[in-house]
Amino acid sequence: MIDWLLYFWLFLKASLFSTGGLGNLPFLHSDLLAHGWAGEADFITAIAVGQVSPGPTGLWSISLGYLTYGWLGAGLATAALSLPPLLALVVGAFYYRLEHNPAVQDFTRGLSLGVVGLSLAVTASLVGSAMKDGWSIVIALITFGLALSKKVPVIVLLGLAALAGILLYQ
Amino acid sequence: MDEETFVRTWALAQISPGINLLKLTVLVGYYLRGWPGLLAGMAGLLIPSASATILMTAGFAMVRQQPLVQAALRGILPATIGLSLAMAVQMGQPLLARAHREGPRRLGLQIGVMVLAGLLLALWNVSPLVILMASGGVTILFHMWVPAAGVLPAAEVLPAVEIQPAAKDLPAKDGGPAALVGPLTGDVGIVGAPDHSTSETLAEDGALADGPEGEQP
Repeated sequence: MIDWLLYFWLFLKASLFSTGGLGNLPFLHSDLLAHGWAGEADFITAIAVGQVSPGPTGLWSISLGYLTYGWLGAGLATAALSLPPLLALVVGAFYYRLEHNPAVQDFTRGLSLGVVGLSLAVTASLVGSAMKDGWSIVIALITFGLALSKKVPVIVLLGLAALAGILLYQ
Repeated sequence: MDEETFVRTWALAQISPGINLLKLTVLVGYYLRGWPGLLAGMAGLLIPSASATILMTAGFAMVRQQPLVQAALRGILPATIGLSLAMAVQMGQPLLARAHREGPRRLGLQIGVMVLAGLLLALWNVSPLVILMASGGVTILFHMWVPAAGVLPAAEVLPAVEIQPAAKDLPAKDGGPAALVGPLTGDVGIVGAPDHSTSETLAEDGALADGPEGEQP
């Protein structure tokens, strides 16, 4: 049974300590798995929906909310990611005074480095449930290359991947 | 809203918590129209995109068991792995490019922080919050100990947050923010400090920062 208050807090915490994109993924991944409230498949599916659906990628956690806890989960996830951006007003009040402080800059850089390391680790942990054979490695590598080149829109990439899946496995 | 305000807002949005586009909406909405502007902006952004996300997930949950969907999914899931890997690379690349210009020791440390952050989570399941705080702390300490090689103190003043392409593409006007960003190959985060009120100071700072970096191979 999901404790909705704790569920909301886990989503809120993930959003509070990340700065967008998939930054909240490491938090939700360790917390929800630890409580047994989500499976690996929920995460990959939610990330895929987040990439395809309109709006920022960060909304992927709304999809995760729906997959793990239905409409209530989606609502709680939406509320949890709407609140932290308001803190930008508070941060702004301090930040414009501190933006040239070397320690603040170094801390921000260290944070970003940590975020990259964490995303790589979570991506690695999702590999097991997303990739089952040689073809899936090929698909992942091609998508990676095309995404880096920034020449093909994400939605087209996922469309092609879906088509490849149908042709290969149907 | 002028360019300088927008670029500073963008930089601030990079470091405060939450989704970038939402933070930008909050800041711009509040700047232009106060709380009503903020709420209208949030609602305008969130209501359509959140509903679409929920509906797409719900639709997907209904057809999840169809063989055709299963097959398509087996293609999409590895693609998602490729995408999130690309996102991590796109985020890490400018950070390491900047560290590279600051000398091998700083580059080594920053790669170390990145790798260690990943390993701490993957192998020992350390709390992401602890990892992030430690990453920031270690970077402060090491950077105090090892100054950036070949960078004048003036360039140190330039902030750490990476600027996004959209902000770089802003047209330069009277040596405005874009003029400062331009020569630095998109490496500069926050533009327009309180003392950068005139175009002369902007150009001067830009030249100062650009000089030593240009000399680095």
